[in-house]
Amino acid sequence: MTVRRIRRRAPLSAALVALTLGATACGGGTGGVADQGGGGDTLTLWHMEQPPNRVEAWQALIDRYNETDPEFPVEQQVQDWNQIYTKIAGAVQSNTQPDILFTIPDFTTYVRPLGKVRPVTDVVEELDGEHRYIEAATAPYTDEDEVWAVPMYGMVQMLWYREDLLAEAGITEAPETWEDLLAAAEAATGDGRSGIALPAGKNLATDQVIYSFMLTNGAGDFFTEDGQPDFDRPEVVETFEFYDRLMEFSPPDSANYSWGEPQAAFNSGAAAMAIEKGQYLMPFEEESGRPAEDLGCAPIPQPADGGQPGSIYYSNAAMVLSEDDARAEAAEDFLAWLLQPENYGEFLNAEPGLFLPLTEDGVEAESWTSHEVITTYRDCVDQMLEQSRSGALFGFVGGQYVDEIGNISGQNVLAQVIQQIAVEGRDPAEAVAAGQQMMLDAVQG
Amino acid sequence: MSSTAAPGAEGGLRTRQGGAPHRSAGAAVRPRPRRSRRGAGTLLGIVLVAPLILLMLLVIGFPLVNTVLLSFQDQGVVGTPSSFVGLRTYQAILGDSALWESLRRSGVWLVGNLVVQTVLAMATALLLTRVGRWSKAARTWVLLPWVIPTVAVAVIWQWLTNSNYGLLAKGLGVLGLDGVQFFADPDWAMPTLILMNSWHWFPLGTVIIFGALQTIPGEVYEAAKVDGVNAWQMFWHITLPLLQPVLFALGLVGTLWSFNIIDSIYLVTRGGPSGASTTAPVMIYDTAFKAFRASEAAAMSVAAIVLLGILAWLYIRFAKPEEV
Amino acid sequence: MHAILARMPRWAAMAVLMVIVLGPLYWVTISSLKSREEILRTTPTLFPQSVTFDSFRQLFTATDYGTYLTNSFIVALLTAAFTVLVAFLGAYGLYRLRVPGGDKIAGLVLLSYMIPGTLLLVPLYQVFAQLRIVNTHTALILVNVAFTAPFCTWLLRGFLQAIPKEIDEAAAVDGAGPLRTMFSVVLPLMAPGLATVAVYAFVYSWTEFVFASQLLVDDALKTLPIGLSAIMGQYTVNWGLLMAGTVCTMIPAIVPFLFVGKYFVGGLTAGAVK
Repeated sequence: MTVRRIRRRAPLSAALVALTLGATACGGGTGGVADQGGGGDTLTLWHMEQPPNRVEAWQALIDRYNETDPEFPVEQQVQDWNQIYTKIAGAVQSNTQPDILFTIPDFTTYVRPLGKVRPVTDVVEELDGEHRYIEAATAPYTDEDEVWAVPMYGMVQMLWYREDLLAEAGITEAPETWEDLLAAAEAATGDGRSGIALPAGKNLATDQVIYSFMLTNGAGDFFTEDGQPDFDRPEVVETFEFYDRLMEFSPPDSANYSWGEPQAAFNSGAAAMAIEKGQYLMPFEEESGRPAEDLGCAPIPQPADGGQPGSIYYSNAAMVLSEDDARAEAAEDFLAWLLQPENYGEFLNAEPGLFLPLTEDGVEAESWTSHEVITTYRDCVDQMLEQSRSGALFGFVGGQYVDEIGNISGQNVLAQVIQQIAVEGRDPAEAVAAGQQMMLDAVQG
Repeated sequence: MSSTAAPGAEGGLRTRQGGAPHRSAGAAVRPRPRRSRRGAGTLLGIVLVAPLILLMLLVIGFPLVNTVLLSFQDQGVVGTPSSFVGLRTYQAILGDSALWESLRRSGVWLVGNLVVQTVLAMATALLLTRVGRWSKAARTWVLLPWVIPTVAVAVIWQWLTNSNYGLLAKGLGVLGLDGVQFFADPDWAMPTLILMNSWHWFPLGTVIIFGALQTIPGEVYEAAKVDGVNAWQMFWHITLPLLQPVLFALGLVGTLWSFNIIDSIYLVTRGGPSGASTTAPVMIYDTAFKAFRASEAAAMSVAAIVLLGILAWLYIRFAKPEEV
Repeated sequence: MHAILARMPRWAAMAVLMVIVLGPLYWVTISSLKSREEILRTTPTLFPQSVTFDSFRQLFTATDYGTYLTNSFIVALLTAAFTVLVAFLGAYGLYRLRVPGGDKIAGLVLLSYMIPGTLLLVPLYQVFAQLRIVNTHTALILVNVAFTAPFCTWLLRGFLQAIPKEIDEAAAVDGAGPLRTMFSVVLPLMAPGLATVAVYAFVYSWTEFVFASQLLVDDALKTLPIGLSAIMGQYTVNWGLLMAGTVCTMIPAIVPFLFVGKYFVGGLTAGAVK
């Protein structure tokens, strides 16, 4: 009997589709279609910040927003970075896309061609007037004279080091140059400890650390004027050679490391240094069992000769994909509400230290600075804000906008190159040349 | 290709019944008189089979047709507009050594899993047939690795093999074998993944073989014992031949099954390090969803299906045990 | 004395088996009971120095573990129920009533294992979007049943053939129609087989990750494997929480097994061999 039910479902659903379509046609073809089954008056927000503490913090904020009795209350739906590419493609094609989708610059280049992203130039200009965005916030989302996402928070990488462990190894100054870093890593290595924990798995974590070093060596912009890859250059090869040398002082299984492993090694004292973003602040004391003073931070070391300050930096933003204007406007209202200084800090402190403010009044907002983690590590937070100024992201250096960057970052080309060098012992120059070929193939599709 | 293999496979599976009445085996082949009094039964039969067929058409059939069509086009990002390009996509992927390399790795993955799982399952099953409280209890807990979600299996194994705090890595270190880097070493990544995946799946094989062992009449062993045959000979000359039909079927289904496994690999190494664990399904996934070349991925899928079909056909043709 | 010596290899084998199967599970379980500092210690402790339930507390307060658990059970139980139904009807039609072309249909089972599932994702998403069932448990259950039913149909074949045809004929003589024969005569006799199929489908659904993560969008609908993978977020991992999540994903699946495991073993046996 239940079988019948299963089989009857298909025609039933088909009938439902027909009904809905009919209803919308009568209603003038607007509204209703975009929502996920019922509850057509809520705005859906998709983001990929899965850790429970972030979801919880944002839910609290959303609840507060919904209490202000907006026309469209907001509902968050947490997605996974690994599935979002297929999911959003399927959702757009079936008109079930969310109203708001959080993004990073290269993901935007993937979503835009799907055809539902609305330009948000006006609201961004308005917000800029009100809160004064830093320049790096909007640049990677600006293309064809429009802004395609509302910048929400920034992220930057730093060199993190264990003061206690480096002191043990006789090092009291934070490494400033590549040579210093190698020397410090070597000195701190031994007795079951690694000098530094570097990711070298085939993943985005690896791409990002390598890219930070590339920036300090003047190799941050590896595209020609017209957006063609220009990766096979001496500065790039040098950077990979350096990363390979540094890997000698990284744990032996680094070739499978992603985000979590270096941090765990660092906090457990199995490694004395690491390069990552501000997520190192919050769990430090609890996981290491050491006082906060033992967590040192410094700008990414640069080559002594001809180096320049640099680190991977990107603003995370929110795209608006609403089907109709009223919902789009409501989505913009919600995003603007989040950027109000009294709410912005609470939003950022979902992961204090990792999510950095992008507006001038956000930097000073009490709601942000008063958080315990921010006050405890104020010095490091300031250094991160400072480092942000020299930050950049590949494909978007100096106002560039490479449409195909998603194809390159999706394949983790930088990580693949370092794996060839560090794991297979391939000559860096050869591996970089192979990387150039991979990028060319990726761009030509 | 697969359609020609399928009925043959059915024949192969049938031999697993061993002592089943030949009446039923023959009935499927023998042409039946049309319009017999069983006509109503046939109608009922069709109705009964319909849900299964419809479901498979909806969930497997339609997407499969879609994949084949897609392979003749030039789609980039999955689901975007594309145009017909005939066999050009096939020319591109079949000439690419990366595809053949990934298929070779799939071969290693497949054989490795088959061997490890069969040996492990066989040994465990033999152990479980012993009488005694311990064996009896083990019949339940031995299933545990199978009921754990693959996501958790991946976490557990990465946790065990981490060089800084992993118990397995540390334990080997104590034995002076700290050179093994498991998932991070291109030579070890595949073997470690095979071990991990086998750990996850061998309980199912164990249970099936255990069941088959239960059906071997005790008298066979008694008689052998009287003839002074030792335990090892007994295993080789009695147990193994009698298990052949089950092992054959397990080999067939298990092989097809493990070929398409992607989550175990992707959750741990994503095909790395340096491509060492990029099997064909991993490559297909990456091509479709990381490199955004949907049509190439579809063509690779079709190629993989054809290849599997040929393999299955050969296997049934040559490895099918004699009727016992 | 001699008897004990003779048993030594068997004991050794049992010990090895226990280490292989239960060792990793033990390690994860005690890791989940350690503090955040102890869990990462470079000299692993085989037993927690101070047992703490912090990670579990966090799991239950900060994540929707309860929701995920409920969803996993709903999807797994419904998958099991529909698989049993579809597979039983299918097997009865194919192997008892012998529909024409039945052998070819049975061969489809094999075909369904040859297909790399990942590529079905997007076309399937489109089909379900057409039916307006994306982001529902219905979609997930449909997929799960489609992947378990073929194997289960084949599994039931052995059970069906073990039931003598004479029973059908006797029922017919007593005036039972074909449907009555099927449901009130054959069905009860197939109980062990159906139980086996149910358990198999339950476990399949319980462990399924790829399709669940693709088809479910709403947090309120997500299943345990998705919840677990969410703990391993971008940028950082809370290992204690992850271990606690792993343990809590294992335990609910294990509990029913402690009761029905025996029957499952017996059932799979019968199905595979007869």
